[in-house]
Amino acid sequence: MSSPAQRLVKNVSKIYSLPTIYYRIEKAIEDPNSSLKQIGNIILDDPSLAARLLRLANSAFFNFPQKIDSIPTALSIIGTKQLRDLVLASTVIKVFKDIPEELVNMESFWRHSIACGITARVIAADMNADNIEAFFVAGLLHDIGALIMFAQLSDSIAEVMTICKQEKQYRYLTEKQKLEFNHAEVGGYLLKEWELPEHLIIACMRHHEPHHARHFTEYAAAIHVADCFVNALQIGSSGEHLAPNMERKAWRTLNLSEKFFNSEMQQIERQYKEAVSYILDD
Amino acid sequence: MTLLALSEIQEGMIVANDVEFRGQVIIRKGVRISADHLKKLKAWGIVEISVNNHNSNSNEAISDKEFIELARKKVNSRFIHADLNYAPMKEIYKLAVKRTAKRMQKASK
Repeated sequence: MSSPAQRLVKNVSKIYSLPTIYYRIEKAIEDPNSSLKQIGNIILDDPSLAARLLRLANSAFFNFPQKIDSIPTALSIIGTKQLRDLVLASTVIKVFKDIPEELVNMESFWRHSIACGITARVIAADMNADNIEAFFVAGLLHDIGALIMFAQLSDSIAEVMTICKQEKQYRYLTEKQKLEFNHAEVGGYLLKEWELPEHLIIACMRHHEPHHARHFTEYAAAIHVADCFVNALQIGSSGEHLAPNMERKAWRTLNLSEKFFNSEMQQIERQYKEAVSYILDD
Repeated sequence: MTLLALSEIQEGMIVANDVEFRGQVIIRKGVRISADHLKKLKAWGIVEISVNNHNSNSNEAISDKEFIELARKKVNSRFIHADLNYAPMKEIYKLAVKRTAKRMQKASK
């Protein structure tokens, strides 16, 4: 039996689907016989995507000393899995281009998501994580369920947001009270529907309650802490008007210094600006 | 750099060019104007001097503090559920106040 959140996602999965290029790249990467050139050729099928990836590869996002002038070089230097994640980051915004803006300002929403992704990326770099781009994508996608709810359940969500303001309550809790599910669950189910990797699904589903994550706890914890930081500093907005409270266990999982945000603030801002121009300026 | 009439000159502003009186430099470029300077300038009959535009004179320093106070109030209303006894959360709170103050200051200009 499926839950209401799963049914909601099933109903809209035809409208909100990932571009096929992502799955082609994914398949090629998983195939041990494919070469960098073959993977590169798939990316080159979409010349504007290829050009943007090269621009990103040569930006302050990576700070590589040498110029990266071809997709195969980018693949070999940045890594195939990392580049796949950046493809996902570059294409996902378009999936939601038709969301009505009555309840959400899309620019502000994506700014919040990008800031969360960048903060998680900087946290991951501090932790020496294998693939910091995976943390970037996890942050970018964490509130995606809210978009489905804005589009499909606009009346209920308008009501939820009014209650939040009146009762000074968090949105994810009010959603749960009113609808029996929240945007984190909807987002998680959508990423599952898209057959995205487990760490992204868990990070999305548990970003408000990372202690519920049984696997990939570092992903859930990083996105939770990053979301907390970005909401508190009001970098963009996903519609939450209160600063989240940070779970102590999540912070401990990440093993960051107490002054982490103070010392990484500039780094986060620099990468954030870079990512905003990469993702939002089209 | 702005040329201001003496009546507009306030304590804490930074002198942008040497102020001369009868061929002698009486206040050097870069000096912060004190109450004593103001008295002397009046006495010497100096009508205008050049001051730096972007300085941290004492007047702005006071409003900096005011902005921080206003920002704190604003941020407090959003942090009602946040545990400020927890050091990492407190750290984020401080950054939020700083950022909000900066934004308010920018908006006021």
